[in-house]
Amino acid sequence: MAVCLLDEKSNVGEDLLNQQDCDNGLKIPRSFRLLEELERGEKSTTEGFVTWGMDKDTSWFDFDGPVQWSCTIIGPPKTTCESRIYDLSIECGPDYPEFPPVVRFKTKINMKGVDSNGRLNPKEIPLLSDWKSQTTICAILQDIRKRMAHKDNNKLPQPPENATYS
Amino acid sequence: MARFSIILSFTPNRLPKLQISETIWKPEAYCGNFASVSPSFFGFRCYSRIKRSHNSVFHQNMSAPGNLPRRIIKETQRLKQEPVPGIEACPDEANARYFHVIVMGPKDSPYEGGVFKLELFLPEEYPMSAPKVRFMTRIYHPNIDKLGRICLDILKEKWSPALQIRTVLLSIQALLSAPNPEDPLANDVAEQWKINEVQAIETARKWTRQYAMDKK
Repeated sequence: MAVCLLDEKSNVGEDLLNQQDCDNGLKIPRSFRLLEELERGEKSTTEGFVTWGMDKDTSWFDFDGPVQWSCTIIGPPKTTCESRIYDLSIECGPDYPEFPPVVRFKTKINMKGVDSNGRLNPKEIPLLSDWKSQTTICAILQDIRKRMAHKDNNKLPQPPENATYS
Repeated sequence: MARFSIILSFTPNRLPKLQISETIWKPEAYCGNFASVSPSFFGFRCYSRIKRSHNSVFHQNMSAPGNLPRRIIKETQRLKQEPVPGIEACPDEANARYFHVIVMGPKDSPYEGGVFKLELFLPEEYPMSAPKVRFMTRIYHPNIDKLGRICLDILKEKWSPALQIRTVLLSIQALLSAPNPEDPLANDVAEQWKINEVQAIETARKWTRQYAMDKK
């Protein structure tokens, strides 16, 4: 065992005894993190007009690979998206939550940062480009909704309702 | 009193000064080396002194024992020293709050002969809140859903800080012996269990063979 004697030279003051340990030992395993998000989604009420859930077929096998979330955002009031229902998919890769998920619109939308396939450019969303592992799915969706109402987006002409990316 | 201060000034030189190396801070090594020392005041004092002078190392390591409540260390230790028959729980190398668990299917149940993998995580609030447990091996059981979540009252509203990892795992083992379709989590499975128990038990056996047994 790697125990050996060390010269007594450091006499760190007793005041440090009160120094609080930081709790960086707390890393929630990916599977429990995903379940947490799922439960949050099942319990979430009408707060903020966004929903997310796992595909019905998700099961044991799918936990190691990428996990898909089916999400919706209700277009915010006083915008060209008002009251429209937008379907999105959020994919948490195997490195989630250390790395951000990939967000894609399924319903067509004209919005800054969304490419012609519906993919959201993470560079446009600080929440994704500056990713923190504690960021929830809910926070991502609410951030996108806020962006829809932003002055860069709220007047943009929108494709016909319910049109989808192929 | 004088005696006390003599001991106090003596202590830092008496207990082994520890050279930080990677292996020491792993929980298992910790349990072996320090658990017997740290409960005493002087042992603890010496330990925290060493720990403080090497704070950076502790902070790099996710599972630094200094961050781990004593309760968890003791439970881990006891699980290793006095294992529960038919259950294995092993802390993850990188995360001392995360356990790899194996539960053997109980005798005279449809899960007999099966080796079921579970994962267990002790959240920050533990023991004030329950551990999180999930089946990783597929299992056909009315109280376990297809994501491996377990419907067990002590994991939810009946949790008490007096319960332990050990008791939780024993309860899960007991749940395998006594499925309870009246309080289902997997609705379709519970339905089957109520309509045709013989058939449901047969399916449970089939799944055990298919997913929980070594096919070699």
